[in-house]
Amino acid sequence: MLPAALMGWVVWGVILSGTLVVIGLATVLVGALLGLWVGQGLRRRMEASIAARAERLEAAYEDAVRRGRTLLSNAERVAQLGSGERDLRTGLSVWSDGFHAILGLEPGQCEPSPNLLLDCVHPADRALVQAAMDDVVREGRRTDEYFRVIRPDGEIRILHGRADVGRDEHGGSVRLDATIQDVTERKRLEDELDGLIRELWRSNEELEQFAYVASHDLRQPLRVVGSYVSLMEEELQGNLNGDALEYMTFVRDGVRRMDRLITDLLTYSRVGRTSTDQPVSMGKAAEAAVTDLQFEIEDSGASVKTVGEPPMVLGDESEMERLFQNLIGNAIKYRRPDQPPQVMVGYEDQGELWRVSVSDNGIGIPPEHAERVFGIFQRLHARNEFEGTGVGLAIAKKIVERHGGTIKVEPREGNGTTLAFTWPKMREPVEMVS
Amino acid sequence: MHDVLLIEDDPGDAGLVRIAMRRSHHSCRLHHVVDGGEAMAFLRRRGSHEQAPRPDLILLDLNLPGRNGHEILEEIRADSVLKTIPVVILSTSGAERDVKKAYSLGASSYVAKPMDVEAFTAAIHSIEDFWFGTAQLPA
Repeated sequence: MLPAALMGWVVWGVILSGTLVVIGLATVLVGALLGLWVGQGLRRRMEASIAARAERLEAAYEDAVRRGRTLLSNAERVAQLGSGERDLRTGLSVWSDGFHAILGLEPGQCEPSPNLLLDCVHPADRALVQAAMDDVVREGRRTDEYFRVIRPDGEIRILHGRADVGRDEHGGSVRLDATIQDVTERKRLEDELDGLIRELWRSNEELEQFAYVASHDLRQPLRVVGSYVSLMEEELQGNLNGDALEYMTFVRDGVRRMDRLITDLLTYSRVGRTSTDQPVSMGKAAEAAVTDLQFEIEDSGASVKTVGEPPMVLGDESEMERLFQNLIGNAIKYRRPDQPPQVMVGYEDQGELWRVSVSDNGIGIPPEHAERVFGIFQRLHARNEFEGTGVGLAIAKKIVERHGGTIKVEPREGNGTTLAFTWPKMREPVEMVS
Repeated sequence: MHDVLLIEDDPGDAGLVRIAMRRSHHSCRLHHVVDGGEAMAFLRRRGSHEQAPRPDLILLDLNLPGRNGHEILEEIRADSVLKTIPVVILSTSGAERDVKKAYSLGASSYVAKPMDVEAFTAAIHSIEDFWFGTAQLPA
């Protein structure tokens, strides 16, 4: 048996420890409760934050979608384009705002479908559009067609439709993707352009006809006049006095000049119309011109020198020869009476272009006439000074300009004239054929 | 004696041919008609041309009233009786397309009328020299 005092201590001990346990338990309980309360708040806060983030993401997504749609819609509006797709498995069609707008329809006010589209198409073009749509699905390849649609307000627009199939990962056709573009304005401009081209053709043909008539109908009476004046002269031989003989000379001279005018005018009008462009050697053309001018060169004691390497260019052979013949011919013709002509033909590489110059030591062209000399029938001298019809440089200009070059009288110090023209280089190098 | 049919509407040019032939050493009878209708009547001996001889040579202008020279040439070449007659085109036009077309339709030769009378006469004489001197004609 334990003494009473000890018992008292034990009791106190039990009580104390019980209290401690209770306190401990209470503490734990309170702690747990506290913890639970705190945890719940935390969770609520976390949940709220997640929800907010989700909301933000959703908003951002929607914003992106909206922006994407706006972008597409703006792009469609600017391009006058509409896009649509049809799910080939469900048969459901979706059209963009642009697609609706082009057909004159309101999104949401109609049910997109191939039949609705066909209803909008001009009756005359329906079979074409139907066949094109069938083709895309059946053949599985892209197609495009031009067709007309009639909007609900009756306006007819011309569309360019394109369609292709969309495929799944196995390559099977699952979708019909289509775009339509309003090309009414473009077509109208194209039609206008076609009209202008036709008009140009017509006027060109008229010009051709004119040239032909000039070559035939104008020269025939001229030949008759000239021939019968000669015959008359023969008949009256010995019976003509000085005045009559002079008159006869005027008539014959007039006929000869008129004939040259007609011939030159014809040549001028034919530049570019009877020509065929191919690689030509400027050197050979210049040589041929010199050969043709042999009589004039010998007659005047002229010398013709070449400086630089003559290039191969794209042009018409006979036109190129004529160009050199006119320029070198002028250099010889318009010479000073006291010195034989010295002609220099120079070739110079100017990067994109060739520059060809023909210089002489002749009478020169006054600067105030530098432009004028290229006009047709434009002459600077009386006929008794220098013969000519005034067409030579006009022909030269036409030949040069037809090939995208320019020709001008170069200003220079001292005597003589320099005429220079440019000629575009050939794009692809062509081997010299000797 | 050779018979030459000249189909030419311009009296001036016809006169030049006549003068040139008069001055040649070949003896030719020149028959002159002014358009396709009269030419075919002459060749087929119709109407007032009942007594017309078959020409040994035809000189044909291109620029004619109504049917042009090319059309007349085509008609002559399509006629089994007439197609063996040599046809020389005598035209003011030296245009390449006229020349090409004439030969493709069966012209025997193409001569552009020279501008001055001496060259014109020489051209006619050389036509005569060739067809009535050098060449063999169908009987």
